[in-house]
Amino acid sequence: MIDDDESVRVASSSLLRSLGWEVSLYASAETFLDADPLDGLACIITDLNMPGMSGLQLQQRLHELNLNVPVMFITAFASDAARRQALDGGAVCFLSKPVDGTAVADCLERIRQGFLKD
Amino acid sequence: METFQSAPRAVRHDTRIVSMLAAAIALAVFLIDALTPLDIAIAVLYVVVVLLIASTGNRTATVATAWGCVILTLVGFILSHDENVSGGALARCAVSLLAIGTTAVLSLRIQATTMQRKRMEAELQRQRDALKRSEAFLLDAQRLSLTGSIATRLPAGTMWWSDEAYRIFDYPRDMTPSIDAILARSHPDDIAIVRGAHEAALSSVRDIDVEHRLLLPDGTVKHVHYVAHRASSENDGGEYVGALMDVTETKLAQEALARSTAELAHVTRVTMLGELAASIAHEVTQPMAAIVTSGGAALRWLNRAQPDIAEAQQSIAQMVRDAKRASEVIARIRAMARKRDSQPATLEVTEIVGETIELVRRELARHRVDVRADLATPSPTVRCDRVQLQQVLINLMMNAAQAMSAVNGPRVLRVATRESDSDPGYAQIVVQDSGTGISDENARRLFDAFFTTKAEGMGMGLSICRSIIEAHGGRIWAESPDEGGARLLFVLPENERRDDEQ
Repeated sequence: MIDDDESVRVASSSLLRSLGWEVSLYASAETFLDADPLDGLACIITDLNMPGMSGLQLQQRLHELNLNVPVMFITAFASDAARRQALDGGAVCFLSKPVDGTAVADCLERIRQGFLKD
Repeated sequence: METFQSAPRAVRHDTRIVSMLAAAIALAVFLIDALTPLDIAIAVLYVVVVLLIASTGNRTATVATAWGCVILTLVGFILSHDENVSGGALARCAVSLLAIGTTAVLSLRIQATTMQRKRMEAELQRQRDALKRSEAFLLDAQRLSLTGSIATRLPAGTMWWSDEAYRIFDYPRDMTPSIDAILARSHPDDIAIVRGAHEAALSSVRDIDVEHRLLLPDGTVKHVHYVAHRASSENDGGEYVGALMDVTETKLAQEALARSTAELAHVTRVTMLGELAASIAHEVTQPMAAIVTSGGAALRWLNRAQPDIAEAQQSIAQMVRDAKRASEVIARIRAMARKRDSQPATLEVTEIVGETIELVRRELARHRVDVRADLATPSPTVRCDRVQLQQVLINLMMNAAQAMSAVNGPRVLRVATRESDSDPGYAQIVVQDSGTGISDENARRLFDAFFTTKAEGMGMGLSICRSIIEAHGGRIWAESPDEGGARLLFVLPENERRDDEQ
């Protein structure tokens, strides 16, 4: 879970844990990329607009690193172009803040089922 | 003046008649003395001739007449007596000569005194004229400058007002001036000020300097400034001499200017908020989003087969924190957007600067600006309007961010607070960027109204900053640091210093 806003990070963490997931929090894309265990991840949830590397730049970087972890975007302000770019880049979900717990749960369920199919 | 001017001609006219009369009397006396055998001292009557001539005030003529009368007396004596002169006749002649001599001497002395008196009178008149002229000058000056004079004799409280003072208080000239008369004209809210000044005078304070309002019977409100000082230092009280200035026009102009400045500050503030809208919206939506998410999480923790109360509590606590944070942001924005008069308060510079950086942090991040704050602790305190000070800071920071938007290198915004080295007793705030800098040509006009280097700029930002800083007794200027970019600095008088002064 990557978001530059602490409140959003804490709230998301609680929601995801209540859904039964294990969560690691990062304040920026850079700190996430610097963190050790990039494998073994079920999903990356990221904000779109952040100081420094943006969500879309992160998505690009993950492609370059050949990390095919599903990416979910949660953002407050997004242009259609950004949304299209994210989904074209393989994003699983593109949600607008404030996000409904159910929407996140549904999205994560889709990811879980994708795992099970694999 | 009339009689004084026509006097010489009348005198000349009189002189001729008097001289003729004197000559006639002299002739008559001589004829009687010389030709009649009267055994009386007829020559004594020559004194009449001497007195008449003396009355014209001509010194030489008086002396000549006296000698003439002496000669005539002697000639008359010789003509009317042969060699057998009686002792009586000789005595009579001597008496006559003595009388003429004495009269002449006395007349001359009176003449001298009269001359002196006349000279003194003329001098007095000249001084009186000069006094009248200077009084006229003073009255004109008082009238033109709307300044009246008030003299107060203490402890009795007897007063003297100049014409202009009567006019300012709107009293008829025949009214007896007194402190009660002044109090009757004082604005009800300012009576304490007037009373205080009067009591200060009663307790022999050396200088009095107060400003207050008057409320005239027709409802007009006047602003007056009264300055007085003790003119004498007698133990039994003394006299205060003071000037009462009608400063209504100045005051109204000042108030109008302050109002315009406040309006303009408000308009530019709202414009500035408009420019910050995206960042502000983000500041509010973030906690809102967090609240929604936390709410969802809390519900899920509670809806579990085995409800996790501790987790739910944490989520709810988080919701409360975020809701507070959102409303704080809104309160700050509301404060900025509100239209209000300047409300000076004692502020910690460092605290305000820190708060303001938080307010624009997102906007700065959007411009990829790295903020480096160097804030002094303990903070210098200033007496300033919080919103206006924030407005100045936001303006300078936003300008800095915009100046760096075309820069490819590091975009560093340095904000510092400290005690001013160049202006002791002042707090200094520095906002420095690593942008394109200010050309010498622009530096001169930087703070002028309607001067802008931005395509869509109105050119009011820095002009308003200057108005705000100067209204708080400070100054603002720009420097071009050697390392490039621009450095905007301003100083505000420190609060402690002002307390010391009072």
